This record gives sequence, C-alpha cells and structure tokens, in this order.
Amino acid sequence: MNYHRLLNLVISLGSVLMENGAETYRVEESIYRILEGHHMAQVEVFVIPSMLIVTIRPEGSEKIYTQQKHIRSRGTDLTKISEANNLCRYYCCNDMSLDDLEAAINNIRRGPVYSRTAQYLAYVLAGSSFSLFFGGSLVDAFCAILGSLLVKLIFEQMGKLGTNTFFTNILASAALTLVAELAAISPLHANMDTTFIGPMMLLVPGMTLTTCMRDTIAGDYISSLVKLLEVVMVGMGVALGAYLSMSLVGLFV
Amino acid sequence: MDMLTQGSLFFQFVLPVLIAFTACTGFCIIFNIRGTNLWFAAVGGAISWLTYLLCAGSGSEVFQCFAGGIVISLYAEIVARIRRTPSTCILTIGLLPLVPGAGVYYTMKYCVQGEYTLFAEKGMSTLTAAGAIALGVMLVISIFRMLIHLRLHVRRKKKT
Repeated sequence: MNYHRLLNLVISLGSVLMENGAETYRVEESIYRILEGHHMAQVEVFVIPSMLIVTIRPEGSEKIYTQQKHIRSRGTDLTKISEANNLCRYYCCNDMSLDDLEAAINNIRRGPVYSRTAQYLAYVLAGSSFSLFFGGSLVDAFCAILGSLLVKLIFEQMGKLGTNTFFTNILASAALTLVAELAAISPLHANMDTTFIGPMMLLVPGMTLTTCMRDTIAGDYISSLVKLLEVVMVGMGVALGAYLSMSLVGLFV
Repeated sequence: MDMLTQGSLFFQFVLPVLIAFTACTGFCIIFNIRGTNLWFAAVGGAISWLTYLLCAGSGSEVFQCFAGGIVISLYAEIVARIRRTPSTCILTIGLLPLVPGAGVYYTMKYCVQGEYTLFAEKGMSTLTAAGAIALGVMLVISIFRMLIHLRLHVRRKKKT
C-alpha cells in the first residue's frame, strides 16, 4: 500500500470540496470515510477554510504520514460538491483502486461548467428578476439588466487580474450605483432603489452565509467565524462602493 | 374575502412566486447546479417565498422569515434524501428570496444620507429578520441531525 499516494488523493478530494464552498464537517467526514477502509490505527484531520491537514498511522506500523494543503482559491460550484460527496459514499461501499479514485477526482475537477453566454444570461435573469421581486417596474428591471451585465463583467475581469474580493465588491457596487443613479436621472425615470437592489443581490454571498450557519450548527466555530468575516467584508465593500458613487454623483447633480 | 378576488390573488401570490422562481433559476446557473437538481432548487426558492407571503397574516416580518426558514430547510433535507445530493445545494438557493436585500440597501442608504435614526431602525429590523431565518434553519437541521443519530443508535442496539 502506497500511503503517500493515498494521502495525496485524500487531500486532493478534500481541497475540491473546500474550494467549491463545502462545509467544514463535510470535508472532514469525507476524508474519514475514505480512510475508514484502509485499516488505520490513527487518523487526524484538521480543516479550516484556508487549510487542510491530514495525519495517518497505518495499523501495525510506527510510521506517521502527514500532509497539509493551503487552500487559496474560493468559489461556488454545487455540482462539484455533490459529485465529490457521492464519490466518497461510493468509495467506502465498493472495491475501488487508487487509480480509479484518482481518475474520478480528476474527472470532478474538470467537471462541466456553464458556457460564458449562459453565465451572462443567468446574471441578467437573476438581477432583473430580483429587481421586479423587490417591487420594481419593468423599466427598473430593464436598467437592472445593464447593472447585472456590468457586475458579471467586473467579476470576470477582476478575477483574471487576481484582485481581492473586497476591492472587486467596491468596484461592482460603485458601478451599479452609477448605473442606477443615471437611470433615475435619464428620461427613463427609473426608480433608483429597485434598480440597484436587483443586481446587488448578485453580490450577496449566499453560499458563504449558508455555510456559515451550517458550520455553526456543527460546532466548527473557527470556520464559521472566518465565513462570517467574509460576509461582513463583502457587505462593507458594497456599502463603501455605493457611498463613493452616491457622493460622486451628488457633486454634479 | 374581497382581497382574494382573482386579480389580486394573481398579483399577491402567483406573480411574486413566479419571479422568485426565475431569480432562483438564474442563481442555480451562477452556482453551477446542473440537471434535475436545478429545478428542485429553483422550486425551493418559490416555496420559501410562498411561505413568507402566506404568513403575512401574522403581521410580523420576523415570524414570516422564521417560517420561511423552517419550511425551506425541511424541503431541502427531504429533497436531499430523495435526490441523494447534499442539502446545502437546495438550501443555499431556497434561502435567497428570504435574504433581506432591500433592508440591507435601505440601511446603507440612510447611513450615507446621515439619517441615523432611520438607519438604526432599519438596521435593527434587517438584523432581526436575518437572525430569524438563521434560527429557523438551525432548528430544523438540528432536529434532523438528532433524528439521524437516533436512528443509528437504534440500529446499533438491534445488532447487539
């Protein structure tokens, strides 16, 4: 049995889960589950949102194997979480070689994502729907389409530049406010509030909020604190961006 | 009963729920949910908002949010077991319509405009609403976890 390789695969699976927004207990459980069938005398797993540490000691051996991984990228991909979760369940009930496990993990990593066009359309759909949802008129929803496109564009370009989330949110929120203010001044006479709120929902870190709640329930307070801080920072970024734009427009109008 | 004439029923319930559904469909694609799960998740958003609207009679927004949180997490746990997918996938999307986006926005706006009394008032009500949702969700998930542990316990006892 090649324990280094096993550890590598386990860490790789854990990082797929963590990078795509899974809860801390899910990552821990998945790693335990895979190691369960390998006759370990000792298994220690430590997971926080930015770090994974796994230590194992095989039965009848004094040798200790340990590996850690720093998790940098953070995104949301619920299909990958679901598939990785199913893989763990499958692995512990079925006879599966390490080669197969590696292939399966790589398959999940390379899993399909929606095309760029579909993603832009999704942003437009969500942004304009939420604008209507919060009581906006059709004109407001139309202006919200513009705002949503801008948000996606900023996310995409800033992602390429590797800018941090805080600054990205300031920029996106400032751009949104500008669109809303201009729509209100323009002959369209859109309602500034509803035009802004719709696309603003795109900035709300829904996944982080839910994970934060679930981490709290599971008792992983370090993870939930980190996620709460993330949510607060997004909120502050959005507020700051809107404040800058409102003040700027206030100078001229 | 005058309120429940056909026209107002449409504008009061059907249209908002439909809009919540389309908004959630958009978010499903953003969060990369694929296949049948996409529709289950988007329907979850519609259900949570329908619960919120149906509880409007209670006159308390906090209760509306609490009820919405309870119903959507129940739905998420049940669908997760049927579809064999983590319940987070359904829950994250389903909670979106309940998120007090408007409240957050107005809190921010009053702060910028220097209206501090309104800011404090809106801020408190938004925080309470968010807390109520979280409480509802936590209640249901905790009960579900308890039941799962109970089932495991019973199974182990039967074996011995």
